[in-house]
Amino acid sequence: MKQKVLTACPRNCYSTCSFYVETEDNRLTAIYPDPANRAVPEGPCIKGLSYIERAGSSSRITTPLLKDKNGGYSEISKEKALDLIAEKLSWYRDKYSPHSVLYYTGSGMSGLTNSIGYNFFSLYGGATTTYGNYCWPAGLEAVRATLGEVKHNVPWDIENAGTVVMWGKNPAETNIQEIAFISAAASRGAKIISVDPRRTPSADKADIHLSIKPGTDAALALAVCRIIIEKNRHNPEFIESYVSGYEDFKRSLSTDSEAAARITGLSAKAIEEFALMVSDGRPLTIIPGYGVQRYTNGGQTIRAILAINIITGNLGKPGSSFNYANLQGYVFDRYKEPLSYYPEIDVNPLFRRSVSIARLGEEMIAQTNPTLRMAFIERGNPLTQACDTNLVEKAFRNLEFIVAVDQFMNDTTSIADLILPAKNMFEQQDIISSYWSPYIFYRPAILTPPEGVMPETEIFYHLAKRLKIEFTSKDIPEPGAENTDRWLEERIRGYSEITVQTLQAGPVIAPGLQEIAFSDNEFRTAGGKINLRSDELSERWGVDPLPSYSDPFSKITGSGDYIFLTPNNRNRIHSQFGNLEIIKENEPEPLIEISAADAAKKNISDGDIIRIFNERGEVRAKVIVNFRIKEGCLSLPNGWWKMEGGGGNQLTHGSETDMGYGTAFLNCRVNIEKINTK
Amino acid sequence: MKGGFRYEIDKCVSCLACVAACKLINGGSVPWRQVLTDNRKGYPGLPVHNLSLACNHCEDPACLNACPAAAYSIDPATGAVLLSEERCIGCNYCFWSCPFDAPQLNRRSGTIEKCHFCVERQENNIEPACTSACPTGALSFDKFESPEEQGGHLPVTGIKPRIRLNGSDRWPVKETGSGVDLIGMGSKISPWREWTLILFTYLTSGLFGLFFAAISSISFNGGIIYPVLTMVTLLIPVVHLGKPSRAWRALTNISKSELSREIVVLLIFAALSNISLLYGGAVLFSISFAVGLVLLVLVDNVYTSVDSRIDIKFHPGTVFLTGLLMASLFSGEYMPLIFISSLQVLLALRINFSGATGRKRYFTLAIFTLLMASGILFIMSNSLSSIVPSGVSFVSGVALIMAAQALNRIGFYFDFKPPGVTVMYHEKSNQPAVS
Repeated sequence: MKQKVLTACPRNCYSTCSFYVETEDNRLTAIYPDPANRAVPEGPCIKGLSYIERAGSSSRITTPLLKDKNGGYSEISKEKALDLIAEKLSWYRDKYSPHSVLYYTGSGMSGLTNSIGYNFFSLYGGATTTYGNYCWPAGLEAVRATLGEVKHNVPWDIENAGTVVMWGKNPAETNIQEIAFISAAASRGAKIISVDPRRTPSADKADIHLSIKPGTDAALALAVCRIIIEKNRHNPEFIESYVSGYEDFKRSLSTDSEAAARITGLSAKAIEEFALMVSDGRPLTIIPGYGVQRYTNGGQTIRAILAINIITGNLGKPGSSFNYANLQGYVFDRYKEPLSYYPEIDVNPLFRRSVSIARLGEEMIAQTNPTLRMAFIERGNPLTQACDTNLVEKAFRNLEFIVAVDQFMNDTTSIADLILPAKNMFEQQDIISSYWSPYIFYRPAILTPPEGVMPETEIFYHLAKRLKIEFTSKDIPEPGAENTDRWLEERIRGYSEITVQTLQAGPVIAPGLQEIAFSDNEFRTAGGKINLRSDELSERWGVDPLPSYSDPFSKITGSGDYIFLTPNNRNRIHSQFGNLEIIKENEPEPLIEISAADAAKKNISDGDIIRIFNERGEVRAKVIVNFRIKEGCLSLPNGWWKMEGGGGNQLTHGSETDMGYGTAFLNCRVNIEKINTK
Repeated sequence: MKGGFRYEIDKCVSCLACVAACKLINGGSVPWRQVLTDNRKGYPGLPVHNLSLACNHCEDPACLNACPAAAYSIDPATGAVLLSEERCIGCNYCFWSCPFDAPQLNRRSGTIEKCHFCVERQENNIEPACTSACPTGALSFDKFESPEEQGGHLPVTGIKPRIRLNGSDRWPVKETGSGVDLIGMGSKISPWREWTLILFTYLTSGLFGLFFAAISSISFNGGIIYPVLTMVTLLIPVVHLGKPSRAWRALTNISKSELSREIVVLLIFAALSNISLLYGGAVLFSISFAVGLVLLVLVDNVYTSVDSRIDIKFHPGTVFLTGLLMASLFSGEYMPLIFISSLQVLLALRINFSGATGRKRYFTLAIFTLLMASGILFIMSNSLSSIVPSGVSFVSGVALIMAAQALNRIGFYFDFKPPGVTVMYHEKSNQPAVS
């Protein structure tokens, strides 16, 4: 019997596509677009399509696996696995303290039921957790402190823009449906600009590509602001009515186009032309990527770029927007990101001890009283995705017992003592929202999981039972689809008029959505105005109260002649999807990208094997030589597993961003050496 | 209402959703759809273009006309050009003929595979997997009964592909005279992979030459060599097939396929020439000789119908010239031998200096000329002087000339460039920037 059901993709991705899946005999047979979703009417990307393979992948882990003495794994029953985990949890709690257990969660699958794990560990007596985030907090904090809220116009409003700047964002690979709106804007006469150290497939579609030196975006943005103000192309009415700190900001602009040119590796002429284009009076949408803020100056960089929108009055109007993140769909949270990342704000005494996710390895090792002895890992692959993964691996190998819940064997599961198979997105219902499109989605249970697979909620239910913890169905639901629905109903009660039933009918627009963000000119900052100057940021993070540029590479430890970039490409969401056959067809092995100019200097040509290294580690891989990447930079796509010959994060340094407890992955330098010729 | 592809060049960013959807739904072993990228390396100042291509289900399909095994048919409801894998003999001639490289040989199964236009989905009113999957709207499915002839973005081929290309950007197209060449010069034929065909066509010339020698000589009647050479010549192309056991199917599309015609006439010539050498008679000789001449033309037609450039029609290595040359050589007629050799050198020079085939090849041309000249000298010396023992110089001369002709025939396969897209884009990617 063929069935066609609407669902939505829970990956950590802008698009959060809803789509129809066709199933037959508990198998996924086809995927069709959901034309009613205005953000993604033509359907999902290659990764979304790959669920046809992934849902029934033969390499999926479908039964609990226990590491044996030889380092191999043997299958054990669910009951045995649960008994063993419960036994270990109880032993470490009683012998040391619940805080000897690290509860590590990643962003592998979004959904409200993810909080059930935290409910379990609260009832257990607490655990050591992580604070901060790998991805985007520096920018979130910058936008929050400046505008009061993190939101932007709906995705389809990009069509109304007269100028679109993709600033370090590559939607053609990381947010494919956005490129459709950008194309539509272009066909209506909009100018498209890409600011990126790489000529990406998105930059291929731009009228102008500014190949900027990584980490210097703030210098460019501030020079642009200075030119705009000098040429009197700013918007005094908007500034007068809604902006605070403008005079201080104006006075602080010391970098002219010549100086910015020296810093950014662009020409002064290009910087001036760029400044005139973004201030030509037509609606301006700037779309910053998250890469620009994965530096130790990341928050300040986002503030500087946002200042262009502010001084030209490009907020709150159709086509005028700063599309960093749109959290209007996050309606069920007590604290929205980034505040929920701050241990001092989202206070739960049971999780009082947490370690910085940016410095994961270092801080795990540093914990004493009690030292960390056990880890429970869910939805994450820290051995691929953390900074300085060799140190992280060491920190995990120091532990006595590691439980990892996952669908596939990867860098992290392969060091676990016990692996529990994770459900896939089609096997348990949940509610998810997007940080780009304004929809809230219900993701139904469509497929029956294999015999050995328990949804995480059931894992915690059985563990709580075995640990003789008293709990209610509000803490942890009983197994079964109806109970999960009842739990979800309870979970979202009181936040809005949305119910599970309304969501089951299809994606729902977030209640209270502003299609044009800030169209009411209400800025929920302390003073009610846009903070070009932010003393709050200065006090909390010790940064300059004004947006400013500082060289991120002056701060890091380590040396190297090349800046090392780890951009996301079309084939993966972080460390997911790369193991699938359909993805391997496109990218069978990791390739290090190097500019033709640098390759010539080192006598390297396409297909040669090179070694890139620094004091933290090394990666050996084939090179691809082209004219796309900026001279002095190397790149290796994010998410390649170490066990597949990738693992770029062996080289990245574990440092926090200037604000928001983010992770400065791109503050990284490496050296290269040719190993052998093709 | 039938349908076809619509492709907006401006909207495609090479996300490969179309390729993946096709593979995930249809599971082909060879790529049924591919996205070509021009200027993949991003040469500064040059645009990057993408082009998603599969079978375009042409109204007058080159593959269907080329197929000797009648393995292709057109679905009347959708216009889909369908391939029957049960009928396919794996000769690869459809791949040669298709300007879009849609049919591709699955080396494991030995048969061709290609896009079937998702006919089953279309029958259920579902559009093809690839068009349904495109997340940017670049590739879509349009309803139109009959495709118009494409110009502009796609060169005119006369085969009426069911695709409409739009966009402000212009896909770089070269009109090469042989049909479509979407990106640049290159070749989808590898002479080394086609060694069986090189050998077969070379042997065919030799067979013709030997037959002529036998009927024009008093002392030589072909002996045992001729029937043995006939058998070998007939067997070699069978080895070339992906499905040798279905070789007989090559005779099933005589009305359309040049390849079918070639094989039929080859069989007739093989039979007639052997019979005539056994039983003799001027009438049989004449008929066999005429059929042999037709065969030489038809072998060349297999190539010139795919690559109709003057460089190929008047190539020094055509089977027609090679066959006539061998006839002269084996029958000891030196004047025609010298005449044809000179013609070959002139044609080779023409290609070298004015041909659009590619790089200059002075070296091979020099070797060829040297081999031919010394070969002819050796043979002539046989009757003119007594410096070298006569038998040795004759055999050496023949060997030198045969080697020169083999070189020439291999050269033909280097110059032969059927229209296509597959190989060229790799070549283009490695070319230095031009602005």
